[in-house]
Amino acid sequence: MADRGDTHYGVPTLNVWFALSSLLFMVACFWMVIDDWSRPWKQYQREFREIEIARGRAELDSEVARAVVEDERRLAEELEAAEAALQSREEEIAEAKEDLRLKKGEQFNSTEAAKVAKQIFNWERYLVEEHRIHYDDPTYREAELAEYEREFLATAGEAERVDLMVAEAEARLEAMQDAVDEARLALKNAGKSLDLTRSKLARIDPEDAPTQVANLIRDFPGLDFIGPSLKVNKVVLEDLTFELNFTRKKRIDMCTTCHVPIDRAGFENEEQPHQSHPRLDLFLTAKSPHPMNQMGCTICHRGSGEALDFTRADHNTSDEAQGEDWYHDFHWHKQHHWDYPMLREENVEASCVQCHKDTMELIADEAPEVTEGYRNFERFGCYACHKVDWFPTKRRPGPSLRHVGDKTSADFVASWIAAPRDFRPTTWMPQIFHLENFAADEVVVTSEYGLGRDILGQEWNDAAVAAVTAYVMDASTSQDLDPIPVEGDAFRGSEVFRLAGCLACHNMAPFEGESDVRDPALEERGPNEHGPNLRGIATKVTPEWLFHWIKDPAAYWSETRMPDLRLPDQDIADIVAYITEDPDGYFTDVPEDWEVAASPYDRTVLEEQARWFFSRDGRQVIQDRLGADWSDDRALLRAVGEKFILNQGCHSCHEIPGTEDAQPIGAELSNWGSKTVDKLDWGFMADILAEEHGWDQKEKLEYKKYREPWLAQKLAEPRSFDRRKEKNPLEKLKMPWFDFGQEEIASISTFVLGLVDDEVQRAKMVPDAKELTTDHGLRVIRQKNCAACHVIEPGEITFEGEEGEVHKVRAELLALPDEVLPLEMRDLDALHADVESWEEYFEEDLDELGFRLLEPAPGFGEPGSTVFVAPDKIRAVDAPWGGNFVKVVTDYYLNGQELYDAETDEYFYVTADPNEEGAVQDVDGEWRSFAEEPYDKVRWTYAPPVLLAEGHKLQKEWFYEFLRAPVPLRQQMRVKMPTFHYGEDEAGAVAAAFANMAVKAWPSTFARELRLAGGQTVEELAEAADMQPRIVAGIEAGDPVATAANLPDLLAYAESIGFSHSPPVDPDFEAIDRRTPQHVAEAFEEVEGTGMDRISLGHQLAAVGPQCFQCHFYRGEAPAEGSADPIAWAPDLYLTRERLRADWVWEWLWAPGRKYPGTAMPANFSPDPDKVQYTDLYPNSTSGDQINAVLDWLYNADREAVDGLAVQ
Amino acid sequence: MELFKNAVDWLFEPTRYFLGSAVALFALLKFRGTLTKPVFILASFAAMTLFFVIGWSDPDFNSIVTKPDNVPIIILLSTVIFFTWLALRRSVINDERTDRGEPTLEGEFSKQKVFTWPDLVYTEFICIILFTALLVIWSIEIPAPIEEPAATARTPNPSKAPWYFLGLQELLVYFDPWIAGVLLPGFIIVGLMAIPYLDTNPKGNGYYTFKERPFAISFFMVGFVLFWVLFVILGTFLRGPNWSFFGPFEYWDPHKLEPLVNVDLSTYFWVGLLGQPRPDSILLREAPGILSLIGFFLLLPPLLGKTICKGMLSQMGMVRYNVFMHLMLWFALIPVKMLLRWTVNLKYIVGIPEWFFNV
Repeated sequence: MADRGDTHYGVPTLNVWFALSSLLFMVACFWMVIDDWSRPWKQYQREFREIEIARGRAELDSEVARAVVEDERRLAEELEAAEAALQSREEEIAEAKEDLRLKKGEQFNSTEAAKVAKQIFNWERYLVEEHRIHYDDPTYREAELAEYEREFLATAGEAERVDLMVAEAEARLEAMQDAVDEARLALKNAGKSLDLTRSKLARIDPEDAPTQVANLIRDFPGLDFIGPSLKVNKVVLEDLTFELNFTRKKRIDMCTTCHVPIDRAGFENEEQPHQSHPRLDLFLTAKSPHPMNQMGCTICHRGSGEALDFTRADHNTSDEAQGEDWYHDFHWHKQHHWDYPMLREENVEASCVQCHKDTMELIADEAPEVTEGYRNFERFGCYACHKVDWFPTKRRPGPSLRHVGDKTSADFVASWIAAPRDFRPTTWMPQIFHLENFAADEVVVTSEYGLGRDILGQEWNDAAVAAVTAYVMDASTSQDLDPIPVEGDAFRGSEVFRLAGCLACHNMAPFEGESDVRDPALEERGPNEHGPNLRGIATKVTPEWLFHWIKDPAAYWSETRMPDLRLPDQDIADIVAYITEDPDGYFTDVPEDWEVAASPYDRTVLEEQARWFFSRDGRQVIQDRLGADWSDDRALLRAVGEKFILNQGCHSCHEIPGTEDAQPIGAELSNWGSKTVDKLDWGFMADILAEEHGWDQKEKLEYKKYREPWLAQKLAEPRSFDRRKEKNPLEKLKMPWFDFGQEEIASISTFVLGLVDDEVQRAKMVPDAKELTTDHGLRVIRQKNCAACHVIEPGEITFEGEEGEVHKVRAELLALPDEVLPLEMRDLDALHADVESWEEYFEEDLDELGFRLLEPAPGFGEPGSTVFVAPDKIRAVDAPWGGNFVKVVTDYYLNGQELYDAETDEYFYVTADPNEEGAVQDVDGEWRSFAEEPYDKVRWTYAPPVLLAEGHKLQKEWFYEFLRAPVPLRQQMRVKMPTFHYGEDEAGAVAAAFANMAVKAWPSTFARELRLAGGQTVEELAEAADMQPRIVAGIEAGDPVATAANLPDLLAYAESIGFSHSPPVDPDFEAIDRRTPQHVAEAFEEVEGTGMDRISLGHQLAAVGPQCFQCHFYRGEAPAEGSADPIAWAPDLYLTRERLRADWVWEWLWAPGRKYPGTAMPANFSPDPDKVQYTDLYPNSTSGDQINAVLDWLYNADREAVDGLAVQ
Repeated sequence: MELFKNAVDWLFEPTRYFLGSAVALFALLKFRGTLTKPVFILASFAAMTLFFVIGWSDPDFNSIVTKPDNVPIIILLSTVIFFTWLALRRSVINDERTDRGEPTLEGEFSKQKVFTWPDLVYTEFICIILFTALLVIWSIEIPAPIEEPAATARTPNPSKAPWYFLGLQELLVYFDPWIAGVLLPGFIIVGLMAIPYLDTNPKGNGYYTFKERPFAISFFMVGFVLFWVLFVILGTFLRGPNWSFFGPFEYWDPHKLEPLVNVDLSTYFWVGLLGQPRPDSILLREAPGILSLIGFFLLLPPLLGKTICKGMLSQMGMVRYNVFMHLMLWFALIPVKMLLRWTVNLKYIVGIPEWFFNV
């Protein structure tokens, strides 16, 4: 625009301004596009692309690939040659083609002619038929119609002839091209293995310029909205949602935009974000239980799934150094506006809870941390104060105090309440009084509404303890316990104490952990911490109470987990005598500074407490309540005590008369994990910790940004959030102090973090009835401590083979030649320590350790086989699940009772009978020495039975009845299956759980047996069965995915080679085939050449052949006098038909040692056809026939008597 | 440093902040001759810069000031100061010139004529481009803060209105929602519409002056700077979680407690003055408040009209005077209520929660 010269601003100047500003605007626009285009995730995708290109190239450069390429080159040459050959026959081909063309023309004509003729014939026929009907003229146009038909058939015949000619001509032409087609197909197939890699490379690393340019344009700023090669990956989850303004918004996880190969194996060693998920067997892959397209990422990991930026995704770390690196690299910090930051690695299992509420026990192996938290939450009774709506356990965790006056003295109660850990350092009861927010020398309150004297924490607590004690003792009613009916013998009691099973759940570990104790009574570990440590117990309880408690624990506390051991009065009296007289000094031993004494309290303090508690009710209420008794100390104590109980929540854990209906005191935790951080009362902890650790303001604020530190602090020092706060005594925090260790805090935190609003459960993972009962059963097994006595799953030994290959077998260690007890299977360190001390003691080197297989291990042998391995080749030892108590029993029988002499600091063995060295009392009252007996025999006879594959062995219904009312099976055992107090469905759940476990274990056992029978390696079996070795190994290892998909193939293969194996348990209901009318009828038929029916034959075989009645009870009768000592007694055969599964008994009779390696039951029937015994009793029979007969008898023994066919 | 920060936090407590600002505004207007000298504006900008530099190291201050959505407020702060100064400065000069009989600064210019094109449209166009470019660059460099997905069950804490409504939100501290959210904004709109009819004074059109329009300008300054801009700043920087007050250097602690010890006028009257419980009858109970309000709104206009606003009444006529007076009284109610709250913890003048009627 020209300058007119009369304007205020010079137009050229404005033009310059206009140009400059437009330029700036343009630059800004470009900047905007480029800024929008340049995203960090693209860089990650490019990096990953580089990784893939490098891998693809390496793959194409490998030897295999080069061979393929060489093949391809050769085939290409062949193709060329074939094409050239075809070329040379050009004329011939042209001729053939022309021929075909002409014939096709002819074909068209003939086909058309046939069609027309058929139409005409049909039409004429219609007309004729109509006419004949209407005019009743059956012969109308007969000849004409026949003519039409002939014509139609003739044309059809011609068409068929021409069709054949065409086909011939086509075949001739095709034959000429065959060679070329074949060559082409061969070439196409040759490179198939590489095609995937090639096409991927062609896509991401194109070599031709047009594709390269196209890719460049696709990803160009401003154009990349059309069809970019780098793009955002999302997983849209229809049924996992967020709450958003009255509606639920789908979760969209874009995490895979950066974590591209997260669901693909093979990238384990790359750097993040190019790493594979560490547990692809469980997560993300399509066949895993948590496929990515259904679960996404954030439902487990939390964090912001729709963020495409490192910081905005709200990544999280517990590693400070990593956090600093992140801050440096990404300016990483907590996202203020995102309430659910990613879970730290150590807490990630928390998310399992949201779906697996009903199956926490089932996931214990895969999610150990959170299930440990769940179990701690139960063990410490957290649920009693803090409601968690779905928590399965409801019982009060502490003992009932309804009759506590019978059990112990008021002074003991007072000193216990004041400081439970002072008396028993391992108790689960938390410390309630004398905690930091009522510190001993700090003023709690000034009495008389601020006009009186200062009351210190010490006085406050002393009065509180006295008040609570008074209430509890006064509320307790006496059960009027009868005196102990018989006199007890302390020494015999010490034996009963060990043998009856007390040590399975209790121990007497000393106060200061002595590391090197050999007496199992003094050891603390796992199962024997189920009940309280009994050290010092004699100073606590009265003998009468103890007698009645052992006799019937539920009479005192209906919810107790202590079972009824069904001991005779004499045994109980002996135990009571042992505990009260305490010859070993365990039960009267108390910590050094501890004494049974109630601290004195001050009346003024008590009055002040009454004022605080009753101020809301008004003075009149106290007056009414106490009447004229305001001056009565006891009444005042009681009144204040009740208030303290309700205030501190004693009633949440204990049954206390008068407080049964009170609400628990803790905050509900059902969705604590969804609570936002700003709703937590941090008190002044951030400031206090900042002072302690010298944090700056930023670090101080950082501390309060996550839930985890709050939780950890609450668990470690529950009342610390009161620090520096001015509170009145009733407002102060009440959570007691549990003295949690770091591991407990970590596991409980993980569990509580997982308690979130129930959003997923409805959408995913609705457990089926089988999973629910198994979970329930496993929970009961844990709560009843079954594993203390019974081995439920075998241990596992991992060792190195001769060529350095690693083997894993389920096995047990054998007793060493010179030592009667086997080394313990706890862990590798314990084993090495045992080996070392053994070598030291016997001054001999231990060249190899023997262990016995408990499950078929192809390559090593069948169950019961022994494997020897040098101790230094053992790589890992996993303890069996359960059976700790076995050691106590076997040790007792083999050595007598182990005692400790404090003066000489030595352990020694004694037995009750001084006349015979090493003798112990047997069940028939005889004194026998078992020192010379083999360990196995003692273990299988006197120790609690192993429950390996028990679901496969027992009929579920009988198991259920047995659990509810145990009957003695091995009459010689001193330790007895106690009577547990099962709640609703609990016994049924245990029986079902064993059945379900057997079902679950079956495919793996089947596959092993199959391979063992064929003597094949995994690869050999896989090839024979036409499966992948990975799948076979997966089924053997019990991998559910491989099993579900491929077990039928393996079964079909087994059937094809005639391999038979007993079928899996049907956990729902199993009819016993041998008792069906058809079967019974058949069994009662006379067997040819014997003159007897099968049932009688079976009975005769049992009685005369292997002489079963020498050891086995029958119909409640013991083996005849003199035939066997109690050590050889075996269960009642009459119970078989209702107790055992026939499949199991069948296998058992063939080879008892395969079922229970080490059992005293002999193998009576030889599998070798040449060595069949007892043919005199059952002529012309095989071992199989004989076993069949015995089984028929065993399962119909009741019918035999009815029909009067008993055999002598 | 801590001392400084504590002093600032103390100074910014709402009462002190508001009254201090009022005094400062009064002083500015009163001593405008001296205070509008360039040295003062430079000094005040220097002081402000220094304040920000010092405050920068404080994480609490830093996090609030650098929040992307608070950046406009920082710009607002400086532009308001600058333009207030500019206007006053020119007023002072113009007033002096008028006193000397010279034309005003703008008056001299207004004799000249310029063209719509290019002098107006072209320059405006250039400005539009420049500002658009600026906005684009701003949006690149300081991205909009994205918060969590909104959820009905969880409101963010603090929940804040858009920055330009923070003044109204502040009124909620002192008034019931129906007054603060409905009545007062209504009066603002009505009042703004009524200005051409109420203020027919042509003085000050097209040039800066203070002397010729002392009341109108002071009134506007109080309304805009004190009750709008300062409240916006208060709402942005000094109101945190739960709408609690936080000093500029204070951590926004959601658990901060503030005492709620306010008392209704009826309680003061019946219990405090007469020493008896409040009567059961609602109207009787609230009679003191109702009478005060009637007095305030019905008696004050004629009273003032007879006394200090005699001139105004005769000049404006009955209708315009009354409309103006009522708008003024409603406006005045705001500081009156605030002062009563601060001084005697007055909760409501008329408090009838039974009828949802609270003033």
